[in-house]
Amino acid sequence: MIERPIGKLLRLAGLSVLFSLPAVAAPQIRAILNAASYAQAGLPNSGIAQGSIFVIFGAELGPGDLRQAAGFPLPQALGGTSIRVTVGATTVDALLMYVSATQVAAILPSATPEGIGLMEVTYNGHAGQAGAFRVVRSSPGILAQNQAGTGLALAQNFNSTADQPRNTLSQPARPGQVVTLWATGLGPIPDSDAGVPVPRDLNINLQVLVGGKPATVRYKGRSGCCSGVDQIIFEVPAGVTGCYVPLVVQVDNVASNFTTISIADGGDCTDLSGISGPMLDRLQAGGSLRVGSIVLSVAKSAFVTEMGVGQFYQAGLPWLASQIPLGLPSAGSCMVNPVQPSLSGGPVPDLVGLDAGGLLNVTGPKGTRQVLQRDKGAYSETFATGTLVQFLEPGTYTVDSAPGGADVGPLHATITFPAELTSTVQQSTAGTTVNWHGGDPAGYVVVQGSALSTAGVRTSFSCVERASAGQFTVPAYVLSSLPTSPSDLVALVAAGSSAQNRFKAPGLDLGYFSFCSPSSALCNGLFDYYYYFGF
Amino acid sequence: MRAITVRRLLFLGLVAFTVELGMSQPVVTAVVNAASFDAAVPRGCLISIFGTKLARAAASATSIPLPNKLEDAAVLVGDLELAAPLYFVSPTQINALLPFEALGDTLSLVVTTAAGRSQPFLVKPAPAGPGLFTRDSSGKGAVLALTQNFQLADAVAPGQPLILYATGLGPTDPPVVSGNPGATQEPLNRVISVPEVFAGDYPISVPVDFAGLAPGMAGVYQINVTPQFLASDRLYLRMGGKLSNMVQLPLRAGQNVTNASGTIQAVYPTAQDPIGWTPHLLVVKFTVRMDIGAAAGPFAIAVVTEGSASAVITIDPANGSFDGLLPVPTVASRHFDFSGSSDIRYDLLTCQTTANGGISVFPFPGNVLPLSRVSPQEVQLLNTLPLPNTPVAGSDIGLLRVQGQARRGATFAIDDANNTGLSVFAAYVPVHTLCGRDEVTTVRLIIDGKQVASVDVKYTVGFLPPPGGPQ
Repeated sequence: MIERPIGKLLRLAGLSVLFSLPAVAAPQIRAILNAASYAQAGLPNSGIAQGSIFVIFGAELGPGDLRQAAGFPLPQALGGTSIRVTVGATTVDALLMYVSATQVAAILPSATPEGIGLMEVTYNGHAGQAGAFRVVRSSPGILAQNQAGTGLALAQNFNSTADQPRNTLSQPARPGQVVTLWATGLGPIPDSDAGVPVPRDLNINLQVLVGGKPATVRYKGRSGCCSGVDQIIFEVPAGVTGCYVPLVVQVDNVASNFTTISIADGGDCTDLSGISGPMLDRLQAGGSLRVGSIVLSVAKSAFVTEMGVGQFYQAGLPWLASQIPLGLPSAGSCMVNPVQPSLSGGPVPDLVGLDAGGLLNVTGPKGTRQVLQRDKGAYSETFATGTLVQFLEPGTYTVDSAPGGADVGPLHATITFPAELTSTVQQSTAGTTVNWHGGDPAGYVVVQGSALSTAGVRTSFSCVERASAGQFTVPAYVLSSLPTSPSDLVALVAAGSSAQNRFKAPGLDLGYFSFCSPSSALCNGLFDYYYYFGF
Repeated sequence: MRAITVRRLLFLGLVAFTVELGMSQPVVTAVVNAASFDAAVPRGCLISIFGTKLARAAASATSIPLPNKLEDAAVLVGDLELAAPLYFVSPTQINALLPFEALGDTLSLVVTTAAGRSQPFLVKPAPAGPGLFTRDSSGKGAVLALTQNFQLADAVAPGQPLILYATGLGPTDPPVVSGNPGATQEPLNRVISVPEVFAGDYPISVPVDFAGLAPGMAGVYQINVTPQFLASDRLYLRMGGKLSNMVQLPLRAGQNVTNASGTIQAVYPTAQDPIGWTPHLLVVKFTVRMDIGAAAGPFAIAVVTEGSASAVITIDPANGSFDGLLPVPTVASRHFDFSGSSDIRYDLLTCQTTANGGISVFPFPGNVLPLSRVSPQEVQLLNTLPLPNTPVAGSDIGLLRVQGQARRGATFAIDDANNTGLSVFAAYVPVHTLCGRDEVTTVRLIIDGKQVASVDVKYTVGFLPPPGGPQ
């Protein structure tokens, strides 16, 4: 009788649903990253610093359940896992903090030589294929509260020795206040990395940049608590406030991951959108705000279309983020890989229309027109369609809703159409400078760019400056945080200008009155001008 | 183990090359598996890099561990620019090893010469990418197989141990540093994920006798197998869901039949329907006639293509029975709904030449074809084919199982009068994109290990239908 293998039916069609199982469980390394920044391969700060904590991602790296080191001195073998690092003729054993099947954290001994190293993980006597990485003297990584290297930094506002709350959107630091920042990768220490760390200021060229401004640094070195963990103690510089102030640490020419810190000169921090820190916290927790947005727009294609649109909603974070740029850096600063605030979990709040009255009266140089409520909270009107602008000519416009509606009381808002904004970009070895003219002098200009690493990782940045400044130079530490390669060029995209004023009305938390000009490509009502460029 | 034999074979007939001098920068146009020429290349795989100005002149490695530079050429991989171990360089081709140590989801590959650096060529290391070496190093045709005495295997029979050579089988235990040779004594460098070996369309029972780095060689793996049953001469590996190139085993004909003869007819495609229609149906009708020996043991009749479509009829004369499995399209695929299939269908009307000389083509949305892209003749023909009675998960092809009688000492035939249910099968053959080029697939009839007929079936792209569909 012929044996009929089980796989025959599948085999005949040449399709596979069966996978060959591993004969042995040998460790496989997928990535070796700074444990705080998680900087990906190909980025300038992806090297692993002497004496720093790194993580390995992969498979079969250790036992199925998480095993943590019991205490000091940190072991060279844990749960059957050990890590050997070879640089040139030198081989060292990493000091293990925790191990699991898919992730391992360890300290690279300070005595590891600089250069390209090979890391080999052994689990239960089986060594895996080695992975290559770069050993550097310093490569700072700021610990982030999301444990992914982005967003709010793990920083503490110093009130007193006994009172050092974590910096959050609802607990901002004050200008001049001392802040303790947690990090790894500042550099090697002369002591053993395995033992209880001895706090000692490291002799390194370190700079803390808060909203683009250098801060006075009081201490930079290991924390007293944990091996491989660094502390940086600095004073918040004056003149910088916001809920998403960029915070970056630079050692020599290597910048850390870009994180944020909230700063307020008394009271709550405020995002550029006008939303306060506690409001942002509530939104992220699934709360909602009562928001009104009125937009006058002139769209130009084959015909000129002039419209007035009003939206009055009680809305949560997803809708707000689609209408208003949230999380942009504070004025005068840049953010690499900016992170938008997002829901921290739970259901998405419903969008509820708010009755602000039967109509909105729009008054300008050409008289008064009405914008009718079409659905609860939704107002729209096409003022004119033709070949020339007929109603929304340059000038000052007011909107009123007297006597108001059931949900929103009477409102009165004013806006003046600004002069069209024009800009030029100069790129040189000294940096990249954007100059502009026109625009709303009370508004902001956003400069954005991105670059693609040879490993396929795209890095972007956003810079914000007051429109009245007239120019902005993208700082060198921002540009040096991007991967550079001839293949990095991205298309240049320029957009038009808009202007925006805020208004108040009973029953509303926030109100925006915006104008979109004929050349506007990004008509979101908050910022004057966007300019995209690449490197 | 005689590594030198393999090394010599490995380089036989790789490419014809010319010495080319010049000072312009190297240009990389393709990176493929050096055995199968497939684009899926895992770490530790031998790769062939194609391009221009890749080296000043041809040179081969003369020692192991492999050098990182030959002539003026080096290959740098990943953001750390690890130097790849090199087997061979020439102006138009480099054979190198994709380093195990290079981490990252995407790796840049740069060729450097005295004239400069190439632009980075991005390689996405595949989780699996087995490739079998062939005798002429083309990735097609006769497999490079040795007997257990390390002689070229010229006639393979069931039960005979075979040694195959492959690349792209991934990491080993214990590991090796890229470019270093496999151990020549225990502990040998066995692969972590053992490939399945399909010989004569049957999976060799797992585990194979040995699968690991070939002793004394870098990047070349050795697989020792003992096939138990050889329905046909098709040989391939499957690993992590990925099939290797399909190659041929030199079959030794059996002694179970006499007077074997047969014919093959490609019912579709025909020379009258030479358009780049999608989805490339193949319909084969065949006849078979033979006398089964009085003492015949189990044997097989197989009609095979170079792709994954094949019909196999196993005959057990001692029990007086046969059992045939023939591929036929599913009901859904007869309505050109391939949404349940793992094979992507491409719209040939979207074929474009890209800036770097490659071809781009877009898949049909949802893997469902509009009727305007399907040959009317094909629509008509599909209605005449039998339906499958055995489904295959995730496939646009099911199986038609037909059983019946076949006795010792009798004549067995498949034709219009005898066993007619066995005489037709159909499949969608993987002829890639067919953008602006013809492809040929060969259909062969093998009875008891002996090839008795073959037909070349040509898929011709004479023209593409005009926009809006064929008239």
